[in-house]
Amino acid sequence: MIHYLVFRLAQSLMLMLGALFLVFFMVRLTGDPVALMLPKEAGPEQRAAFRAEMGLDGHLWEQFYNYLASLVRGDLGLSLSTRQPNLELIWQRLPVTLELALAALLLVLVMAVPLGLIAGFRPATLADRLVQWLAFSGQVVPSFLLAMLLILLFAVELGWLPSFGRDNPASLILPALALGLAGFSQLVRLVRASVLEVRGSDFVRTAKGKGLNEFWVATKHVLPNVTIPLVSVLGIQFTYLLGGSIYIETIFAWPGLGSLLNTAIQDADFPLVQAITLFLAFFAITVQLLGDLLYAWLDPRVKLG
Amino acid sequence: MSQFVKPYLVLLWMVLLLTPAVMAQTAAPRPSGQLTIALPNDPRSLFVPRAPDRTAHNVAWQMYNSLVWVNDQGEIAPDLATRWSVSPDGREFTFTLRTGVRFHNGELFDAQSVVATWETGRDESNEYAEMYSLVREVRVNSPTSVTLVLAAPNALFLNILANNWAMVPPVYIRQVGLDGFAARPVGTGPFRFLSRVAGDRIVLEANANYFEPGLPRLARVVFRVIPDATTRVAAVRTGEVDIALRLTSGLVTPLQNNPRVRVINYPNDRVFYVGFKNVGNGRGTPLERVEVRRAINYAINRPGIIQAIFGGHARLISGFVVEGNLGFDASIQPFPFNPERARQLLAQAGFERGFSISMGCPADAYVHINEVCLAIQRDLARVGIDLTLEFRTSAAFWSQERYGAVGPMYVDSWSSTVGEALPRLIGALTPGAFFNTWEDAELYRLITQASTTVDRTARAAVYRQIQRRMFDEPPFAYLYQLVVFEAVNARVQNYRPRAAEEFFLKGVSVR
Amino acid sequence: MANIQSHRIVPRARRHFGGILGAGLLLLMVLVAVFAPLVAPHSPYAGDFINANLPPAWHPGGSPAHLLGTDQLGQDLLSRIIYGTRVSLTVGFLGVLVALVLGVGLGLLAGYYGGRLDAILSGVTNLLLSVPYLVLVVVLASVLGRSLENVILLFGVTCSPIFFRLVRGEVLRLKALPYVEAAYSLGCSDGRIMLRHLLPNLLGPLATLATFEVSAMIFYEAGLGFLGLSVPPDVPSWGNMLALGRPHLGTHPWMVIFPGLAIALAAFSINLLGEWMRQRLDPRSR
Repeated sequence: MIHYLVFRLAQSLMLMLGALFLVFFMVRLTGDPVALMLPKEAGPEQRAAFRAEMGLDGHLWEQFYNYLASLVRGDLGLSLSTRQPNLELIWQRLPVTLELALAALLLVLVMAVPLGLIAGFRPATLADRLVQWLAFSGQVVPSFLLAMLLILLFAVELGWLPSFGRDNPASLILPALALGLAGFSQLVRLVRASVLEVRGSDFVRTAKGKGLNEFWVATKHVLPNVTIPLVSVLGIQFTYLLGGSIYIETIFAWPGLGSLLNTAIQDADFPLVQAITLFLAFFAITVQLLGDLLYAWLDPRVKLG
Repeated sequence: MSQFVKPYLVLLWMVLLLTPAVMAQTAAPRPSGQLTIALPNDPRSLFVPRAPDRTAHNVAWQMYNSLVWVNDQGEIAPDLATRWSVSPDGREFTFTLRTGVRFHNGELFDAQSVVATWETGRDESNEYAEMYSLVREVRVNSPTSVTLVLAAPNALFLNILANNWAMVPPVYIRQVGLDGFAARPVGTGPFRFLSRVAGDRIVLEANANYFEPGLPRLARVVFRVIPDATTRVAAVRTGEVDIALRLTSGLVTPLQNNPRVRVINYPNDRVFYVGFKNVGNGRGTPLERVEVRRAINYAINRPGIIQAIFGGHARLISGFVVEGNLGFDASIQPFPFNPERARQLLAQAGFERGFSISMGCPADAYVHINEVCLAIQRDLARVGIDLTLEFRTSAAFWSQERYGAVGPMYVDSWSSTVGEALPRLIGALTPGAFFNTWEDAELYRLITQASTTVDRTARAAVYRQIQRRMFDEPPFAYLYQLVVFEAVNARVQNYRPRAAEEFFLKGVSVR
Repeated sequence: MANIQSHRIVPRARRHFGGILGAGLLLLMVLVAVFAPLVAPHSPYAGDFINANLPPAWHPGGSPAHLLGTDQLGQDLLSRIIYGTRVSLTVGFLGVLVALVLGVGLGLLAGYYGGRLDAILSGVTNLLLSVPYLVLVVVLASVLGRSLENVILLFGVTCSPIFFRLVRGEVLRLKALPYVEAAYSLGCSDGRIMLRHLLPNLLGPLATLATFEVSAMIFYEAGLGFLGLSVPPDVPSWGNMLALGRPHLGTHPWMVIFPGLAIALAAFSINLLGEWMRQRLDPRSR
């Protein structure tokens, strides 16, 4: 276990270093952002001064070195448009995005796991087919279209839920639903397939053969075995949700990292784009690391070496 | 009547007469109710010298005053200065300051506040430092009198003052620094800063000690950031917000039958045009021929664009000086749509078989701009001009001096907040300026003349000459002036946005 | 296997119904895309302001010449959706092709040779997979600028790790099997082993994965269009049509509804086919 831990830690650090490199050069491919950030009337001296202030003068490698050096000090630079430290902006928004992403994940789990269990325990029944169709239809509508439809139906027509913002727990429901949709189908299928697999396995058949009732078999044997593959995809799901938040947060005016990233892209605020991308990459790497460790701890079959 | 009753009668009369007067005093409407406004973007800064976008200005100015104010009639009116005088050479402005006005933090407003405003405003870290550095010196004559000395005469100085010089408290701003001030701004204005959640909301509350009696009328103003226009419309339909800004006619039209919502629209002082270049990659192109430029003006079906794309909600323009601007000459009619005339002009210039050229387009930067570019391409194809469209993100589009690789044609817009065309004329037509693409010595001479003519009537005459010149030898093809749409809850009273999408909320109330 | 028992209950024809329907619809769309100039009643770019903003033909004010109505430029919506099929399927199929070539090629090499090459390729793959996918795509799209080639390359490169991972894993598993070792000892060349003995075993799962990716890329294109980052605005892709129609949602909702339905139909047919293939072809997920 220690060996595995050290290995995964080292791997994650390498990934973070790679992400750093990737993000820095990826964002530098844009044109000169200086002109956009200054008023149309600004003169050449003002532009030069601004460029120097933002660390945009000098050779690319020099800029990279400076970037790296300041990163080590925990400095992710200043946003071009607000002049505030990027890290500060990100910290303000992170809990807001996490709240939405976790709510989406939870909502999806709460819907997908019972449905998957029903489908798995009663295969080829009407219930199973309904669940499968539901899961299937989740793959047919892009989340941003669903978001618009949800607002029109539940906020404007029915007036049940807020149409935007983050004011109270009810504000969470629509964006979480729209964001979680993408993962719903996958989770339903996964749970259903795991149940089928476990139920078909020898030990469950033996248990049933011994006359143990279905419910007991389910809680004792099936559920623990469904949990393991579930944990393994939750990390991936979570990473995906962070990306989907770009659309959902923008539509629902949810003041998180996704809408911040979209604004930064539209404003060509590239230090901020770079900082958010890097931060999200680091965050996702960390989450996946924790997920893997949890998985290794839950599933003794994972090779610990 | 007994002698000793008389004093009582007098007293009774006095009470009867005075009560309404006292009542009137105490019955002055106390600020009440909350107004919620949906903004299209999060203001970059609430410190005016760092607030580049209209949204930021609109939020910030509810908290500040300047020395003068542009009133609802578009005139320069007293604000924190009660009167002023200008020296004969037009370079010294002496202001008499209002007394007894306090900032939200209790500091007294006086001449030192004007000095502090100037000094913090011209700090080089501010985007709009030049709006302050054009004043060379601020002379304190007494605590209630200051003289601002300009480096050069400036026709628009009082407008610049009104739009940019938000008075700040010297002690507080020294204590907290510019960043600290931007985070918790303090002014003398009708509303004071209460709280802000980045990307979400800004909350202001009534300034109980505001110097204009009876104002403000709202107890609280909440600005909510809703980037998506469709969501802004949804929020105003549900009543979650009272005012939704920056909408399109295509989104608000269904609201017109909604008794709860009032749809308002007004022409925005922003002109859209097809820019031509006679510098950089514009040299040696057919565009250098005036017939070609006029032909393009005739060839674009602007009435069609306005009708089909904007639902009729945009205005034709004849140049950079538009209706409502100082010196506007209504006798100069916009170029009509006349493809036949365009073909003749092209033939005169020797291009009877047309030519190929490319046009840059700032994709998604403005309402419907993509469709407008496509429509222009189609119209020009009909007179033989084969247009290649280069769609760029706004970042790539505006990042290059004189539009670098873009063009030699491009679509762009330029606004003005001062009620005159001067800012866009200077920006677009000063040879060598960052966004200048067309050099016309005669036009530049006229623009320089306008910018140094302090007398309004004389300046108006120069504008008429400029408008004529820009029509006779068009440096650009003029498109339209946008009509801005907003949706307002019917309970909102007295909300009057201005042509530059500006609004002041001190007189606004809610039922 | 429990679900074998489930299949026994479902009649045979019904089991293949989804696959047949999906394949049929997809084939129809491919034909529409290929023969767009013949199928579409108008050019997707032709139009004039006189015929702008027409509602669908069955609405009052609609014109039989424009079945689904027109947009603000007077361009025929049906024709644009038909040509949009071309764009969206091109993005989907070519994007997946790029991803397949990259992912399978490098995956074979990495899995077969192992060592430093494998370490480097796996590292890059893990890196691309570690950044939230949509963040990666949106940021790169905003940097690269709007063109069809860029969108295809972008999706191709960023989706290749999924194929790489699948192929590498399978190759590692198969390499240890006796028949591959036998081929090796018989003196077969590396290339021959990879192409003749390893690749054929991967075709089933690869085809299934590729099918789902086509549908995913159609979604991603629409999503980029929504943010104004997809192909140039004059190209009639479904994503662009959605973006163009949104400001007119109140007055001309069909400018959003029809492209939205087209996306849903494409996703529906491809996913039906994918589901069927998953059950038939992919031995790992019965």
